Amino acid sequence: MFATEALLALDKYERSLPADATDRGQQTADRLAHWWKQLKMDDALRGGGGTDAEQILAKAADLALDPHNHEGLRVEDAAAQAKMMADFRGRPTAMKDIADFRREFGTAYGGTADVPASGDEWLAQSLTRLARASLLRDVVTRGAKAELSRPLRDAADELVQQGQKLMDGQDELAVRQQMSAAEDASYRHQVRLVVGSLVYAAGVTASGAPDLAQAAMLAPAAAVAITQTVKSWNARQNPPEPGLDPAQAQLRSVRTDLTNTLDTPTPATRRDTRAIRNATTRRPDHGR
Amino acid sequence: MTDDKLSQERVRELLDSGEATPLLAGMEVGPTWYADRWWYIPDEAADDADYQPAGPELSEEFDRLRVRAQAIEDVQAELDGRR
Repeated sequence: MFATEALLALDKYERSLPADATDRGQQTADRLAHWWKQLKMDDALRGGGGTDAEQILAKAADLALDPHNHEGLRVEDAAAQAKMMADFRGRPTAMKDIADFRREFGTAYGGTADVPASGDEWLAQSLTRLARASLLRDVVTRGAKAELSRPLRDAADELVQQGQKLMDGQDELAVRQQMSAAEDASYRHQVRLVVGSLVYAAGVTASGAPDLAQAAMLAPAAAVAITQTVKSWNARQNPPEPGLDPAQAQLRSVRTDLTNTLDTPTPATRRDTRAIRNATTRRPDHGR
Repeated sequence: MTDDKLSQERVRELLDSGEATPLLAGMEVGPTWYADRWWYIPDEAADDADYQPAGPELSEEFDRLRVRAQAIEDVQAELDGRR
């Protein structure tokens, strides 16, 4: 979600510049390079993999930061180069282009997205959210426990409820009604983990306080994420992994949630659901 | 506090008093800088497990992550200031 948003913000910034401006590409490169360096994002999207949006954004950053690149940056060119690299690596499915991202974003927000009027402002905000989500992911992947504070957990719960309301009346509601009670509880737990990390990345301010207005803006997108999570839930038929006890499996699923939430909803697997259903430990409530 | 353990309650007190600093703003549990070293709870530990000091290698990782976290907080403060 956050890489997609940052990519769309970069696209908006580029398109806000006069089409006949000779330095359009250089201005676009300069703004991306500026915020990329300010946020120290060199490690944020490392590895060359990731979602389509992450790969295109990483390529755009490469172009923007390349001291030998005097052409500047066009988002369409970055997408084309990212696609070429993906094809070279033998990717079996077609990579999305910018038009796909614009269309999906419009669908997610129902055409009512409240984004900053300034392309640069939106770029800065979205890259900050991406950097924060990436940081949280990296803390967890280094083996450290990280849990949301109570206000952020409450904000995540509120977001889930809003997303659930938006789903009501849609086809996915019928799918959920076919779940057993245990599956439904596991599903809700899974969604809470995903949305919790979304809220953390989107809603926390410099003081550590949650920005609920910011988090609420994500509600429609969260509904889409939840819908896709349900679809994944029903589509996957992975067998349980031998030698993995429920606690280990649950920890792995949490790590996977945080890792995947950088850009796409987490596909819940049957292994995850069994692990969560069987887990005996629960988060203590510290009353904070 | 023992020599190599800090309860979660004690870390919350230290955070509230400003004696300790969290790596991630807005988190209730997470790597924390206190008494010139990093403390953390391994992710495989129980939910109510105590904090333990990070080893040298992990401390270097946390140092690097802290630089990124500070950069994010600086940009966030700039953006908040514009509102």
